[in-house]
Amino acid sequence: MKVQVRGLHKRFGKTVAVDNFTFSFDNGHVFGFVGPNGAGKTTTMRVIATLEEPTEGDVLINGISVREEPEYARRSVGYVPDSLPAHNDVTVHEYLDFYARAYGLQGAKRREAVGAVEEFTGVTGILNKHLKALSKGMKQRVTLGRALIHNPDVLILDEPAAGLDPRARVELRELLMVLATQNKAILISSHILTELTEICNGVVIVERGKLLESGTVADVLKKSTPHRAFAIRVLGEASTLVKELLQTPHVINAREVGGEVLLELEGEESAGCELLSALVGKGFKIAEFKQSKANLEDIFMNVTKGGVQ
Amino acid sequence: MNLPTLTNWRTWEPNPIVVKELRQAVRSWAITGMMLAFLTILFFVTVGFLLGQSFNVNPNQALGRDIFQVFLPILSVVGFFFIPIYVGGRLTAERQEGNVDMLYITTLSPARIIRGKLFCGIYILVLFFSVVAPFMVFTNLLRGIDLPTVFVLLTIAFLLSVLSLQAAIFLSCLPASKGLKILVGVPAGIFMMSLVGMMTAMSVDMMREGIGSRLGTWTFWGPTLSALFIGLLLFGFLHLAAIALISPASANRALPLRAYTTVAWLLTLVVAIGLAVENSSAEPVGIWAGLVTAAMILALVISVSEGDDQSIRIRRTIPTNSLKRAGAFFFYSGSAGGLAWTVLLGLATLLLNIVVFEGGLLESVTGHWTGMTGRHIYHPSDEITVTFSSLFLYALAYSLFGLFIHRRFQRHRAPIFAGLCSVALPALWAIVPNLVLFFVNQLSWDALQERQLGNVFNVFALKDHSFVFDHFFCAVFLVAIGAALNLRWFHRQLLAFQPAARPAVKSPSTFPEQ
Repeated sequence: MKVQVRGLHKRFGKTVAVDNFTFSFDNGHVFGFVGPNGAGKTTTMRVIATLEEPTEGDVLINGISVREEPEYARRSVGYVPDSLPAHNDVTVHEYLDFYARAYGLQGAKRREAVGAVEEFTGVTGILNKHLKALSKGMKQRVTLGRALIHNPDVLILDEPAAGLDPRARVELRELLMVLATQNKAILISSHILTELTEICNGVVIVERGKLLESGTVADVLKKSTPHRAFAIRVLGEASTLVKELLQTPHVINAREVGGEVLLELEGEESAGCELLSALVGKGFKIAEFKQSKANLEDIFMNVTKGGVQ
Repeated sequence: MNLPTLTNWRTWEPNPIVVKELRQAVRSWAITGMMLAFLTILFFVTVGFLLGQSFNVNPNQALGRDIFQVFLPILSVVGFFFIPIYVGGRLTAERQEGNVDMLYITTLSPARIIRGKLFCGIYILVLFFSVVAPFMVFTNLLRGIDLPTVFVLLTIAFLLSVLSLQAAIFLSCLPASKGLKILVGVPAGIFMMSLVGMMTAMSVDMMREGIGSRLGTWTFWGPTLSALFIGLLLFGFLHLAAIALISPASANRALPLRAYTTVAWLLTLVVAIGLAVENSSAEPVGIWAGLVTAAMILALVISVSEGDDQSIRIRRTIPTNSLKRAGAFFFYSGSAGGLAWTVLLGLATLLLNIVVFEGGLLESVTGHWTGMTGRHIYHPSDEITVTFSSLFLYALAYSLFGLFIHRRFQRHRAPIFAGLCSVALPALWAIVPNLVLFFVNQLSWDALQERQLGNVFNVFALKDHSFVFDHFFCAVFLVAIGAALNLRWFHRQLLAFQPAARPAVKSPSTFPEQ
């Protein structure tokens, strides 16, 4: 199952919400969809979920166009919107049962699917509660259950962690990690980038309706942060080390921060080893030498310029 | 349709929408409250009448009829107004962009969704009718009304309620904002209320004469079957239109509607001619022509609002055979095909009008059927053909102008702009000259009834009916200009109506049907 977003444009009157987005993700990929408010994330997700029609371009889900054959494309997609249902006249079980029927599941197959989803999302204890009476975390689980009821290959989650308490967030993250192991193609948007870092192996960065970067985290990282960052703790005067580093070729921007020396280094991974051996050779007593790993937050800050439309 | 049969009854399951809607309806305060209020009103009305009667020295020989006359409007308000608003309101809420219920991205087909909503509404209607039926049958025991009248009036009220329900569902599916829907819904609501008034007035008339004695006569069944036929046609159209409105934009949404309208056009024509021969009057054909002209004018506005783009999905289904393709052109989504279809049907109507009103078709048909030659057929008006033709041609001309303005000057706007232009242009042409007359102090009733060529509304208010011929020639002239302006576009559309090749990617047909 492959999701290909091709030259996607979406305009609302004169407002360009999505301007020529092109990216793709595959089975087993968990792609983080990040960008400030108004960047076009929700619109893109709604197009993939067949809720909106693109102005131009298309999205192919395993080769099926959401523009031309939305009825068929939507069989493979489960969508979790950024707001939650709050019916006071429908119980959790009835809600899931209805969607199972709506997706054409019948008889024992339906009961089995509903039971499996209820168990997976951990809502078995609240089946007879009305949706309005549920906490946000539980509503999110029910919504996720609804999106999974027909066992879709593609899962689109729009801000699933928004407004959840820390425990609910951790539980949701665990559910998503399990889903990722089930070989589903997952696109997830969130403002909490640290959370995405833990589960995503790919990223799409958008801002003001424009796509800035997309690809695996490693690829985007390479593109967005060409220099390697290191932190060195030295026994003795750190300022001497800073002076030495600033005179060393390929070292840029060395500075002392809280007893550590932070520096950026040009070149391949071996450049770090060479620097370390050179410093030791010059008599510096190196207590700690570590490479700082950039995360989604760093990538996001590097790539975006800030501002909303 | 998903109905239980002898082979699938063990595994058959009802429409999911019906299950969901009814689950929610039984817990809804709107339905429960309305039911309780309804029962309370029925109870107090009955008790009030019976108590009032007990203080009267002379027994009221028509007490049952008096009570029935109060029950029927109450039931009509519920059936024509409350239940359609309840069902339509829920559907409107579900169609809102921010709705979290992802009903429209499930694999439920648009037809099943609309049917589900309709069946749910009908179920609630049956619930209310079954509540009121015992009260209404009870009125028969109090004299003044016979049982057949009770049942016939209940049936009429039920059928009109179903029609109102379908109309409400159609309005809810319109791709418009909440405000615009309310704007359309208010006149629709007023119409529903007037329907309650009409129903009450009709029931008074029926109860006075009694239906029981007329059940075996054509004077009862003729108008009843005609009304039922028209109601069914309207119901079918609204049902198909609602399905088309929630179908994906890439689907050929025009096909079922145009095919249905063509069949309805033919059926109504046969019925109108039959009625005309039966009554020795061309009036039914005149009414038919008037209604068809109105429908065709509406179809013109819709057609020009469709736009030129045909999705790959539609183009893949265009027949490769040139003869079949020529036929398909009239029934496929797109402004050009829509215009061609409407013009074809409009011209056929015009031709039939000429044959009926000028060519003596009815006289010869009557002679053929009855074997009586020279039988006189009443013709309502001499100018009926030219009046309806002028109206249609004006509408066609303005639609062509709207299309041209959109294509040439406002291409970046949505295709509905062409439709809006085709409505705005005749409205402006009708208002602006009269406004000028008003400001130069020349506006009078006489001036309004003068020849105002190009003014569609002027056709209805001419002091001299012969002026209508001037309107006809003016409309023909305007159509000629409109056609010239759009000829190249139409030719391009005609050439572009070609089947698209199927891509090599996985085809939807490989998916199992759910």
